[in-house]
Amino acid sequence: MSEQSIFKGTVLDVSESNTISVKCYDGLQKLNSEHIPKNDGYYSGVDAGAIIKDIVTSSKYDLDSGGISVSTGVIISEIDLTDRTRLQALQILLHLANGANDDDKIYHLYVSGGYVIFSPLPDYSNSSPAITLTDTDIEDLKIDRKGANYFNCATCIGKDGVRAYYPQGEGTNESPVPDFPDKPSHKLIDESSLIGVASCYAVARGWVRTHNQVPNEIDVKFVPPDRYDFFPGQEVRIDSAKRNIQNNFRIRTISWSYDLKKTMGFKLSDVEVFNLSTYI
Amino acid sequence: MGDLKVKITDVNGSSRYVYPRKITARVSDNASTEITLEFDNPDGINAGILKFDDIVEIEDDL
Repeated sequence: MSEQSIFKGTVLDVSESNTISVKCYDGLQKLNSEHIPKNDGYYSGVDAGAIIKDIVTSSKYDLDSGGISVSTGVIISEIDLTDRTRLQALQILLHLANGANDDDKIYHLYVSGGYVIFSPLPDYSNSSPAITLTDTDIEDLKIDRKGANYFNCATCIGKDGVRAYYPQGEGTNESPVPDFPDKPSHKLIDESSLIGVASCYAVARGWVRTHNQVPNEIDVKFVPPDRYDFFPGQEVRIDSAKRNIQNNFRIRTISWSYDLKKTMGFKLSDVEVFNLSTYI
Repeated sequence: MGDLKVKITDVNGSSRYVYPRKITARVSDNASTEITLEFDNPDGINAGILKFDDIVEIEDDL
C-alpha cells in the first residue's frame, strides 16, 4: 500500500457548535496574508515566470516553487509590486504572462501536493482525457452560458495615470482614443503597480484574450472514481448519448466530499476558450 | 477507493491522525484550495480539536 498526498495546507477557521467545522487552505491563501515589503517589489527586464518564482521563494511561508515555469518568454519591462500581497502580485503577473506571450499559451496557477504550479495549460488533445464520463457515471449535468463574463475590449490604467487600450495596436496607445467595438463590453482595470504603456497593454490584452468568448460551462456530478488526482486544466470527456454531448472539456473546478456517501463534481469549460483566469 | 487519512502537525511539530465525519474539497484554477473537515463534538464547545495554523495533510491510501 502506498500513500499519495492530495492536500497540504493549514487551518484558518474553526467553528464549534454541536459539530466542529474546520476550514483549511493551501499555500496560496498564505501568500494573501503577506505583503511585499518596500523596495522588494521592483523588477525591470525580468521574465514574468522568474518574478513569480522570486515572489514565492521570498515568502516566509515554506512553499515549494519547483512547479513554476521561469521562462515564459514574457519580459516585464518595468513593474513595482510593493505593498501588494504576494498572491495579488502572482495574479497580476499571471495576466501579464497571458497577455504578452505571442504563442497563444494560457498560463494557470494552483497548488498540488504542496507545490506551487505556474505553467501553461496542457495542450488540448481531444484524445487523452483524464477521465471519460458516460451516462452510467453521470448523476446530474447542467450547462450555463454566462454573458456577464464576456468582454471584447479593455482599458488598463497604470502608475501615474498611464493607460492602454486593447484591441487598439500597442504602438498607437501613447494617446489612445479608443476605437470601441459596435457593441462594447468594456473592462476597466486600475492597477498602479504597472509601469509604462507596454505592461498596461499586456494586461488589457490578456483580459480580452481570456474573456472574449462565452463558454459552455458544464456542471457535472458523477459517481466518484477511485482517485483524487485531478487538477485544473485537465481534459475530461463527456460521452453522453442521452444528452447528445460527445466532446472533451477543461476542468475549471473540482469539488468532492468524503463521508458515508462520497460525491464528486467538476465545473468544465469548452477547451478552446481561454477564460479560465480570474483577476482580483 | 483508497481510504483518506488526515494527518495533523501542530506548531511544536507533533503529528497525529484525526478522523473527521466528513471532508469536502473545492479545487479551483488560480485560487486557493479549500478543504472543510467536519467532526462530531461530543465534548461540547471549546473541544480544541484543531488550532489555527495546524498543518493539515490529506493522504490517499492507494
